[in-house]
Amino acid sequence: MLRVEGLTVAFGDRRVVDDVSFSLDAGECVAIVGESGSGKSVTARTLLGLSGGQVDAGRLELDGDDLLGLDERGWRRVRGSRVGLVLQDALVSLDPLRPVGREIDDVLRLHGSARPAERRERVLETLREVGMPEPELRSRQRAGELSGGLRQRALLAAALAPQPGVVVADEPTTALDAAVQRVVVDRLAALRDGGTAVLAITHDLAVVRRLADRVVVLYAGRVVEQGPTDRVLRAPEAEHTRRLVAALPAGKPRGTRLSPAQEAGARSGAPVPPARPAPPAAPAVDLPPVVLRATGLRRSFGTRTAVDGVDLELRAGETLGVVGASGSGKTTTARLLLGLEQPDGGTVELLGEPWAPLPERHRRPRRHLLGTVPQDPAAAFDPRWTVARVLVDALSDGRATRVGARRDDVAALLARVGLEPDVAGRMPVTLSGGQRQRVAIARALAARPRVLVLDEPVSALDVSVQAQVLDLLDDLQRSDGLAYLFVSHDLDVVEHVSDRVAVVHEGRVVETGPTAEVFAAPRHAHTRELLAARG
Amino acid sequence: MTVLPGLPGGAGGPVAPGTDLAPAPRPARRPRPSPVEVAAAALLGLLVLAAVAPGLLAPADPLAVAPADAFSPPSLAHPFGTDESGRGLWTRVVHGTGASLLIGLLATLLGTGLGVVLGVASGLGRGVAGRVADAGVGRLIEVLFALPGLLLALVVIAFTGPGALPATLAVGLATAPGYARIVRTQVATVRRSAMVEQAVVLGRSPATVLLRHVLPNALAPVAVLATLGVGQAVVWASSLSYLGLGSPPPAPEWGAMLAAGRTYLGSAWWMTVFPGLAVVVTAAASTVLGRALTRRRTEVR
Repeated sequence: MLRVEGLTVAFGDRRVVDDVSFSLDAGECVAIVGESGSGKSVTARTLLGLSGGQVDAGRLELDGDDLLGLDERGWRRVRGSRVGLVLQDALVSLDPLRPVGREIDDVLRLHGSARPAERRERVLETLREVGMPEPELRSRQRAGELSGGLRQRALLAAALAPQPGVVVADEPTTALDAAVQRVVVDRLAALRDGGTAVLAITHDLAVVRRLADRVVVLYAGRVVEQGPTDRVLRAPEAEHTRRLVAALPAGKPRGTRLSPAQEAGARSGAPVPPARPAPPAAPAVDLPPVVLRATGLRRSFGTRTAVDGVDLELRAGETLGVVGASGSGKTTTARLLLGLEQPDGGTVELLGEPWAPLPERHRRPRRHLLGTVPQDPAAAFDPRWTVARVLVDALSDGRATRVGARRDDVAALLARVGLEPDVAGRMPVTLSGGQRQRVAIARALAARPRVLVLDEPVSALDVSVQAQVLDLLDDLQRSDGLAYLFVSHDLDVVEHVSDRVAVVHEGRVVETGPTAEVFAAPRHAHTRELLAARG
Repeated sequence: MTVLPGLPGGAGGPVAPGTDLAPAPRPARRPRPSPVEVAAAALLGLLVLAAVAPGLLAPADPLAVAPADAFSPPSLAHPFGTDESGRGLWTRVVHGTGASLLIGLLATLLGTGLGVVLGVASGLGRGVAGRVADAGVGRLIEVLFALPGLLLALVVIAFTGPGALPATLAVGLATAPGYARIVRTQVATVRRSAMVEQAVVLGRSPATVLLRHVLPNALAPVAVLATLGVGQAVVWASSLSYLGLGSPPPAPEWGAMLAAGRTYLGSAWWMTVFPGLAVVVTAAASTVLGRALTRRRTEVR
């Protein structure tokens, strides 16, 4: 169906894709995996003539037709009707001013589907196929009126409506909760079984395992390994693939290292602390004290109740994972605990003393006890401040603005999160995602907190960088006895990091217990649903 | 700048296995200034020189009358010609630069200053008081917007009477609502940003957050816009003088010179063309520079 031989894409004198070859047959799914910057997205876009770079290839054929020499008009006949593209960010990929049904209708009209009534039928049919609830109603709504999951379905429907023979899915599941991920993956699997060729671009190996027949591993623009999914994931040959597979948190017990050992240990400059003390077996006599306790927390926005009576207990030195579908109230709960929102009802206690509701000025003297690491570190730094300035501000409780005498403190702090001292002089925007998240962790540590509230701290990171950050958090917890409240939509990550989990559904904690128990024998129907969606 | 995943300029290009070292800090990609921008900067330099030390460029006295030389066209002795009293227009244009630029700068300063106060007041408040302040300032801005700027300036002068200072005041007031609206949006955006949330979690007081994060980040684009605004303010101030509402004669002021030359448009074209050119060049140079700064600012993002 699709043959790519010796594909090279260059931007200026920089080769982003270098001599990549693969083929894709009808009814087959091939996954291209790799970290960000490995050239996988550019490869995918080249198949639609959207790469924007200088493309060169020995062969680039679709169904026997040469794609290499196509001009813009030629490409327009290929895009959509013969090769469909599913993008990763549904919010920016849909026109906010037009109903999604119209968007899908447009695609059909452009590709010559006959009568309006016929097209309307096809729109609704496609929406039903992607599992859109109430397709008649939804097709009249605009992107902004749909949740993230529904938007992703609409986008999928727009790509599938003209029934292209090849579907390119670029990170189709990133930033989706487990249930929606499942819908998207199932739909792509059904397409493949129906004879469509599916090319999935992803860094999520769990998706690869469920969907792909074959895997192409890219690293720095080159293919380092390709082969049947089973073989590649079970017995990876290339060093880079081994590392990717090792970084997967799925099924790795608490405390297992995900990143190569010498990495985190040597670079953090601190001796690797001894193995974590065995978690207290039976509910022992001397349970560590409760450091953060929420009782009956409630918070509404207008008529919508986001948090509806949440009770949580976090003990010193433990990690409590908070999981739930998007919109379940996880993030609002985290914000209530951090005192960034005032609760409508209920209380929060920090180290046994009242924390919320409380006027901010009473909270301020104890703010240093409770830290946070943001989901998107890029937006969480003042764009005018260097890393050193950020850390000095945090170290001095906002009193100092000059690095001066604190240069050593800054270097020590950077070393603790595994960064070189020369990072201090850089601006956060010039750092990689992983480095930035390390700086964010360093800032949170500077005030010597006892509790960290982590809201999706690794969801914006590649699997291998995620592995390093998770390992770092684990090290810091051991050495400092920190308590983590770890909010995530990624069940694999939560299972790996948490001692206990709390499952949130419609603003309530529906189940809580030791991680192993909840994952092995979920009691609540919603927990079972979440776990089932994980596949 | 939006960056497509996996494209160069994204999260840092190919990364060595297992490490997350970013590529060496990219050399700051400052776009090379275009010839037009260089010319604009040179012209502005010249204007500043004329404002600070007019005697250096035009040693003659701008007020000295020489009836014998009246209405002489541009020549070597008088590059821009002379006016009805025989005063050299080159001398008067050069000596008028200071007044025009000063009025432009002061008016812009006043406009941005007032805009910042109004914008911060409406963008910053919290709770009920914040909403009331926002609504109040918002309506005030809309009322001011409803009147064309120059008309607003005329209203002010109707109260104060003509003169250089009232003209400055009038132009400042007339430009304030535009700045206020931009500041309001900026303040409201920065205030809700993740970086401010982080500062709150670190225990910073509202005053600290305002001074360290909100104001500097909200005002940076205003500073750039103000460069654009100076040119506009110079034009407006000249317009007021032209109408006889700015600096009184015989002070050398571009707008007043235009007004004086208007009568002789048919016989002595140089009396209007050169002061007019001075206004146009000032406005154009500051606009070109302002736009260059704006573009650079957005590209660095």
